[in-house]
Amino acid sequence: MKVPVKVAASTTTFTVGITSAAALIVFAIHGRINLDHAAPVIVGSLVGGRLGARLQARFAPNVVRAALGAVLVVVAGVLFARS
Amino acid sequence: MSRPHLYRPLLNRPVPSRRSRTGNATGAALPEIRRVRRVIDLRRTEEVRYARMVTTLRVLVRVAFVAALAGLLLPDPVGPAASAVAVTVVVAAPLLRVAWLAVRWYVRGDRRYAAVAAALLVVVGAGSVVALVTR
Repeated sequence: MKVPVKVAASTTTFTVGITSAAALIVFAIHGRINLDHAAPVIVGSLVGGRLGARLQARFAPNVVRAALGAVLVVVAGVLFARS
Repeated sequence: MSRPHLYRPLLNRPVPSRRSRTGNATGAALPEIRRVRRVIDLRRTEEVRYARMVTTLRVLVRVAFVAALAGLLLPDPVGPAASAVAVTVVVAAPLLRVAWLAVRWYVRGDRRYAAVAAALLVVVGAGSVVALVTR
């Protein structure tokens, strides 16, 4: 789609943030949030988000694209293995 | 024909009427006086214009991080309460950002952007209502 990878990553983050917030409200209303698991997830997300933003600004778009692809492959592998 | 916007006097000044261009009976041009509630200087840089929102969101991120750390490290009942605070902040921060931008775009006259942001909030609100009803 010829969208710069940094723009795509930022837009994805924003979109995921909004949709996740909406989903999280529904889960919270239904009482299906495990607070013991929520804390480490939030810590990891915030640290990873800041770290990723700094690394993204430092590296070239090709490197960011390759790293993003590698992370997505790993996540897909983990999800496939769990299922 | 686009109408001049009330809040953008610097960039979108009204076209002087024929009478004000030609002058009145004495020959002097009549200045058009309009009431402006708020003036936003669009010549300022993005960093300055979004400074308050950025600062607020940074504070919220730190609050969420500290609360999540407390939830991770502290025992019951403080830990789960801190985790709940962290979850609440994480949910509220992006919605606050969208609401902030919606108000800002509306005030600036970017009605379409404001409508899209408001529609996003309506979708989130509708989801919350559905969740409440089906609880």
